[in-house]
Amino acid sequence: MRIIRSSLSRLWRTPVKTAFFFLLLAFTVALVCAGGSLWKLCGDNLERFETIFTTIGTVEQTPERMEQESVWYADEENYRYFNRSVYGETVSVDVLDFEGAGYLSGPEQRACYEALPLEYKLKEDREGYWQHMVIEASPLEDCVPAGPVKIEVKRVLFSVYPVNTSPIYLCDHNTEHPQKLYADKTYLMALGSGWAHEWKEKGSAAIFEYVPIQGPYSTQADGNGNRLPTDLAGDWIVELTPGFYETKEGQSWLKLCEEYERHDLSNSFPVTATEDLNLIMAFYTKQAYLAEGALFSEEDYRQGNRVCLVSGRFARRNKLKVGDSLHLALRYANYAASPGRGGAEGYLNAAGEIYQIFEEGDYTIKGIYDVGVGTDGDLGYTLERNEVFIPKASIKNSDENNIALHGPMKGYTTAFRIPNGSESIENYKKLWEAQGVDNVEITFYDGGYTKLEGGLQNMKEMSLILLMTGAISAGCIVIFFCYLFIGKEKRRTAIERSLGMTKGACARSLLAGIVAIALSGCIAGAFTGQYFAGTAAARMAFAETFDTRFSNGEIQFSREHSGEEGAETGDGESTETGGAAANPYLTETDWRMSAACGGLVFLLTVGTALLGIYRNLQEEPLSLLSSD
Amino acid sequence: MDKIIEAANVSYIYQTKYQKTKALSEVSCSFERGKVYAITGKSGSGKSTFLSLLAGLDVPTEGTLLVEGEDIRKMNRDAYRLNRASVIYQAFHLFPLLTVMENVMFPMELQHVAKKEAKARAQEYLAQVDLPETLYRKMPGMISGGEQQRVAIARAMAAGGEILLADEPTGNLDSQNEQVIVNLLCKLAHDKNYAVIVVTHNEAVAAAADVVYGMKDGELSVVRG
Repeated sequence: MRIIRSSLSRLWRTPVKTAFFFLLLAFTVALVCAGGSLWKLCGDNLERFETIFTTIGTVEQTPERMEQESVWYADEENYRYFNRSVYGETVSVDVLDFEGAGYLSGPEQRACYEALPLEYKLKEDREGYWQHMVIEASPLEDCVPAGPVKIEVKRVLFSVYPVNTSPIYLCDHNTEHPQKLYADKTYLMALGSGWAHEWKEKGSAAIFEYVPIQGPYSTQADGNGNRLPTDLAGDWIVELTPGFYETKEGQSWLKLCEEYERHDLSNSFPVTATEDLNLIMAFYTKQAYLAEGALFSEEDYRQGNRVCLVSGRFARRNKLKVGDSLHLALRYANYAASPGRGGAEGYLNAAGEIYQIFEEGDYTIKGIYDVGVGTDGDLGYTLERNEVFIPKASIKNSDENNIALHGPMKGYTTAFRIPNGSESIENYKKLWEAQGVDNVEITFYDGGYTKLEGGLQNMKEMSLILLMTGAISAGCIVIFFCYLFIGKEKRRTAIERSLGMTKGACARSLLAGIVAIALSGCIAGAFTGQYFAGTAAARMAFAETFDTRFSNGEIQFSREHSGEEGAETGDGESTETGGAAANPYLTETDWRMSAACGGLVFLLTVGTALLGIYRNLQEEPLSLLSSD
Repeated sequence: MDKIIEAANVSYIYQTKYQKTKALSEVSCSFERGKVYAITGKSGSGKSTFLSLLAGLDVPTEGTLLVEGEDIRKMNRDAYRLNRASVIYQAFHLFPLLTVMENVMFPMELQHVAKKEAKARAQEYLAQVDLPETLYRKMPGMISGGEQQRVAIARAMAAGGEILLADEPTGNLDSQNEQVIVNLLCKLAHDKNYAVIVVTHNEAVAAAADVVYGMKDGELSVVRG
């Protein structure tokens, strides 16, 4: 102990050298620790972002050409012109299935299935729904309905709202030369509430009139998306003759009414089957978010467990909660449109029959979602208010004979998921271009991951440079000062040896001083480095701003920090989740990294010192001290 | 006779990777307490190698070196140097970062002598070598060569041994200081009963010795005995 004290006291007698060693060592250790901590922090952040961000691609078949369509407007007595997309042959989703694509899920062209309501209450009342009806009627006098004409309602086969008045006004609004109607004949017609000729002048005091809508028609398609041939013409009006309802055409009108009754009054609801909820833009952008329960697990998707997610509105109105059972009876599929956009499918199949249930089962409610104030509503990405989600694999039977509508891939029906990162996206793009498909467009969404990843990678590289610079500097400083404190002290060792000090005592005498400085320098440097790393991390997180409206990270972050699984909302239409950034960065540096870096430099110092001491002790004392 | 060290046919061979060099060749002699011995010879004759063996810093390749009848090979040579044999050098070799007093106290620290006692004894030894008290707290670099050598002798005395080995102790001193050191060494031998063995080129030092050995090409001969 006295030897060590003596050694330390000798250190204080070279204060400049000692102070320099301490300060330089502390500085380089601070560099190493700051670099190491930031490097680890960047790695942790990248790992974190990898799990909370997802990258999806939406797929859209581009139109082959645009066509101008003219539509007659009776009130203006003129045509209006509209552009219509013509797609030509439908491109199958299979074109996306190529070597090296590396999908995490998809690609899928989702179907929206119509499910029978059975015992579920979907709407409070009929307020706000579009009035349409199928009626038997006769004009009050012979007329051409090029403008509003009065017709007498003789029988209502179907109507959303009760028809309490008669006569009503009819106008074949979009036909320039409508067919003549005769007062002595009765017609079967499909009508919807429509255009008021004097609306511009009189507003709500204008005549309320009805316009034709399509009668029985079918848009049934086969599994390849090809429309099936049908006899159903979709005429809005037919002359009612004796025995008409016994004919095939008459039967199709009755079935249409039956289907209207079921679909529009009983309010069937849409069911979307998916391989991954992230592929649905509303979930991807967190416009739709989990309010209760859980999302589907990997196992649910893989094994096709009969679980479902329902909307908060649907759950509340039917007093459903997580864990309850929901009976789903799927009848037909629409591959062309999203439920929120509304389908244009014919309600009858090509044979003029009502679609029959092809899949039926009890689904357990696994989660309840709510929908925030909308984004991209006009693009068809908005969810339908009663939309139910199920894992795609839970549908065991083929829907091939129940496809009510098929169409080209659209962003809101077709998507896939690939690994995060610009490299992954670039690789995909390269491979996709090699496929030579020029009428399909892919748009990638990564929630800002690429930008964050780039920034973090740069930061990580800088941290590594800092770490390496610090490590090399520390190495040089350790070697230099070990030379000063040990290598140049050979003579001291020789004197001590000649005075009878053992080799071990000589080693302790030399080591004590350098260990004392190195230990204090490494501790001070580690604390300083940790502090700087923490400050830099906080600044990094503060400086890095990004739009979280499309970030998956933001919601995850806020949940983690609030300790809640999801926010309860009053009526299911609240909680703006997008906008300004809640920061998903990890800013807490790991003190263990600093401790490890500081410890390594300390061990390096001790190792170098021991090597120097060993070399000193190898010297023959008298050869160093002697005059001979 | 009070023999303290006895060398019998001592040889020493330096062995490197490429060659062997015989530094000492069958040296036989003995040293007694109370006498001053001088070993003279040219540089490279083997004087310092012999001194190294006498100090227990190495052991003979051949032959035996006995310290009071005990083979030095079998001894704890660190303890031997600590307690029985001290060495002083031409270049003094004091610890530059310790004061004069601390340098003298150093061997006693190794012997675990209490600090207070060590200090008192150090003052005593320094007084015996006629070093002014004003210099006790100075660093070695701040005093003259003669004073440093006196401190070195005081440090050797502090170890409390009975063998004092000196390697050209006056080599760096002027004639006045040289005489002071020679007198001190003689005093240690004659008054304190030390066996003082001095390796030297200096004729005046050799003249003051009781016994003079000559060393040539590793072989020792009696010049005056």
